[in-house]
Amino acid sequence: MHKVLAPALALTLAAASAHARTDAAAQPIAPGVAPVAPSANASVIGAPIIILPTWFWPYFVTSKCQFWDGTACTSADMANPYFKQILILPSGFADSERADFWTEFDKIRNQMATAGNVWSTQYRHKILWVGYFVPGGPLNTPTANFGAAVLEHPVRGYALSLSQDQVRAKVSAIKATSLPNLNPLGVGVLFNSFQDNITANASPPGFTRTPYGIAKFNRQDLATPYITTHELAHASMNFLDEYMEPGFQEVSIRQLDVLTPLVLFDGSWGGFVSAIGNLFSVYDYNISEILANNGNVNIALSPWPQTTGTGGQWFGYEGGMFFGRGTFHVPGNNLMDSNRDKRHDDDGFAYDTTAAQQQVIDTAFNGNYAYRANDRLRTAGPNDWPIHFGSTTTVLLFDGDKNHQFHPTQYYGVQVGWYERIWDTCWWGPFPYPCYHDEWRTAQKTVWPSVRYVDLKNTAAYGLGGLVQDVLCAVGVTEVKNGDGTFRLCDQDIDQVSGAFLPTLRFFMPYQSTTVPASQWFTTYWWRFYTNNGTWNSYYTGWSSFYRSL
Amino acid sequence: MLRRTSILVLTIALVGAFAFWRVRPRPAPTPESADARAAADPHLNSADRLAEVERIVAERNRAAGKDEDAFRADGWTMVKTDPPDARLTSYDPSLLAEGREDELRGQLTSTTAAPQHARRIARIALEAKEPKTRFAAVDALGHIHGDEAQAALLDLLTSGKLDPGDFVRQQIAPLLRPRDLDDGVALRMAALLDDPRVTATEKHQIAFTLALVSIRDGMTLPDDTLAALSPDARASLDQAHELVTRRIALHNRRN
Repeated sequence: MHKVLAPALALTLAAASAHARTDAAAQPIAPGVAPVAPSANASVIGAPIIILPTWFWPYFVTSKCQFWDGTACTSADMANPYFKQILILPSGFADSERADFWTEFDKIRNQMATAGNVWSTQYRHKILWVGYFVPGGPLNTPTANFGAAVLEHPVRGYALSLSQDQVRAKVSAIKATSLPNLNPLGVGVLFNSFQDNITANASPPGFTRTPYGIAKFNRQDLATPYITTHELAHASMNFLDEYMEPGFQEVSIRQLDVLTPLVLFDGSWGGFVSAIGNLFSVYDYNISEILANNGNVNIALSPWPQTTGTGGQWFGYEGGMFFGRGTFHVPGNNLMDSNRDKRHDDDGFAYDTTAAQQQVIDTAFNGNYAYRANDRLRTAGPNDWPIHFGSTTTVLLFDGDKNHQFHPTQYYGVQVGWYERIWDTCWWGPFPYPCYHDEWRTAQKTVWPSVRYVDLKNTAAYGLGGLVQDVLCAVGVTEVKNGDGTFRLCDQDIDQVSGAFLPTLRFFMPYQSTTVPASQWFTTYWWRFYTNNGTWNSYYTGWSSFYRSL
Repeated sequence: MLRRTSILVLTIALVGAFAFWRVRPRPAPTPESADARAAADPHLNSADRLAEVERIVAERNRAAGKDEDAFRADGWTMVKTDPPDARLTSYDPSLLAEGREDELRGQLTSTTAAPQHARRIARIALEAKEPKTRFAAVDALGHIHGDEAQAALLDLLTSGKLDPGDFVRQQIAPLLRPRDLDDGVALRMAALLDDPRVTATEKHQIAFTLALVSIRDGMTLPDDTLAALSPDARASLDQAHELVTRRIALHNRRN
C-alpha cells in the first residue's frame, strides 16, 4: 500500500507547493525531518512545510547526506573540507524501488561505520554518506544506469560491469545541478541484483589519475560489511589487495618485467623519445614499478621501500596484488588481505588496518598532511655509457610517489655536477706555463611534475593478452580508453574479444624526465634529485653519472 | 770553508725550490701543447712569455665557462655542494668493512648502477651484514640491463654461497631476464631446470619467465637445448606456458 500511496502523495505535495521538485533542487533530507519544497532559486526554503511520517520519505527522496549515525548533514557540511564524502549511486533500480535503494543505503552506512577498526569506522565522524537516487532500467538492458550489467564470465562466475565514464559524467552532472559541494572520496555503485558468486571489484583512482575511484557491488554483497568496506577502500584509499591469486603463489611480479620492451613511450614524453631509438637499453623503467610502485602505498616492491634517508616501515610479508612473490606488505591481519594462502598467522583477513594503511588513512582524513617524504626514488638513467643525445641529455627520475593519491610530488630538485678544468699560470723557476686543477661545479633546477604515460598495445602483447587482462582486472584496471569511448576489459575473456579489436592499455608512469644541457664533450656529468610533497623534502638520491661523448 | 758554504747555499736553494714546487696552487702539468711550447719559447722575453701564458689561460677558462653558461641559460642556478664520493658511486664493497654499509645501501637503492659495477654489487650481496643491504644489492642487479648483471645473478644463484632458504637468494630467480630464447642467459636458465642446486620454486619461476619470453617473441628454445632437458624440465616449461595462457578464477568472496 505504501508503494501506491507514496507516489500519489508526492505528486499532490509537488502540485501544492507550486514548485515542482526537480533533481536540480534536490536537498538532503533525513528521517524524521520534514521534506520541504525548494524555492524557485533553490536557495530559499519556501512553504508549504508538511510533516510526514518517517516511513514515507524514502518514496520520493532523491538525495541524502548523512553522518554515520544517520543524522542529516547539510550542504555546508559537504562544503567543509573537514568531512570526506562517500557517494552511493544505484543501478537497476526503477523509480518504484526507490525505497529499496534507501534501505540498502542505510545498510551500507551502518556497516561501514561499525566494522571493527577499518578506515570508514575509524573516521566515521569525518565521513558524510551521500546517496543520490537515479531511477533507471533493469540491469543488463540498454536503459540501466551507467550501462550496468551482471555478466556471466566464462571463468570467474559473474562480473559486475558498468561504464566508469558514465558514472563520472553523472557525478559531474549532480554536482553541477543538485549538489554543488559534492566532492566524493570514493563512489560506490549498488547493483539491484542478488546474484551470488560475483567478483565484486573496484578501480583504485591512482590507475586513472582521478580524484575518486569507483566500487561496484550488488545487494547480495551487503550480507556482511566486507565487500563495501573492502571495495570502497580500493576506490577511496587507493589500496591494493594484499593477497595472491591461485596459481601465482610462487610467481613474482618482477617476472613481468620481461614484457617491459612492449610498452611504448607515447607523445607525452616529447621529442627525446624519437631521438633515441632504443629507450629500453638506455633507461631503467619496469612494468612491475608501473603496476606496484606507483602511488599505491600498501604494497611495495621491497620490504624496505624507502630508498633515501633512514628508517621507514618494514613491509615484511611477501605477496599481494595478484602475485605471491616480489610484492610486499606490512604485517597484520587486515581488510585488504585474505585468509587464503596465509604464510603467517597475522597475514590474513580482519576488519582491521595495518600500519602502512593507517598512515594513508590518516593523511586522507587530515588535510593530506604527508606522514613521510616521497622517498621511493631512483635515478633511472641514462647510464654512463657513451651515447649521443644531441645538444642536451634527458635524465629519467623514478618516483614511486609521483602519483600518490594524497601527497603526490609537488616538485623535484635536480642537481647536475661536473668537474670544471680551471686554468692558471704556474711557474717552473722563472718560466710561466699554463696549468690547471679541477673544480667541482653544481647546477640546480626545480622541475615540476608532468603527466607521463606509456601505451601497451595489446596487439604487441598478443598471446599474453590473457595474463595481462587477468593482472589488470585483479588490480582494478577494468576499463580501457579506446578513442573517444572505453573498452570494458574485464567483462569477457580476452579470447572472446575480436582479434581485430585489441585495446591499447595506457599507464600513467611513476617516472619524470628532464633535460640537462650537458654541452661539453668527453665529460662525465653527475646528477641526483630530491622531491617535495608539500609537507616534506626527501633526502637526495645518490649521485649517478652519464658520460657525454660526442 | 768556501766549499762548505757553497754546499750549504746549494742545499738551501734546492730545498727552497722543492718547497716552492710543493706549495704552488694545485697545478697539474699539462700536456705539451703548441701554446705551452710557445709560452716557453726562450726567444721571448719574460714579460712577453707571461703575457702569452696569461692569454692561453684566459682563452681556456673562457671555454671552460661555457658549460655554466649553458646551464644558466636553461634556467639552472649554480650552487655549492660536495662532490660525489668515488668509492660510493662505484659501489666499492670494501666500504662494508669501514662501517659505511648504510651509505652503500642508499647508493644501491637510489641509483641505477652501470653494467661494469655488476660484479662489485654481487660481492655486496654476499658480504653485507644486513639483509636489507643484501636485498638492495640483488635488486640493484635486477635494474642493470645487460649480460654482466645477468651473469652475476646466475652465478649468485648457483654459487652455493647462498642458502636456498635465504630470503635474499629467493629474490634472484625472478630477476633473470634473457633478451630472447637464443640468448646465452636463456640457455643457462634452461639448464638450471635440471640443476640440483636450484630449488623447485626457483625452477618454477625460471620456467615461467622462459614461457613469458617465448610467448612474447613467438619463439621457442633452440631444439638442441630442449632436447637436452629432462622430461621433468620440459614438463615444467609446458606447465608454465599453460599458467601464462590459461584463464584464472579470481577471488570472489575474498575473506
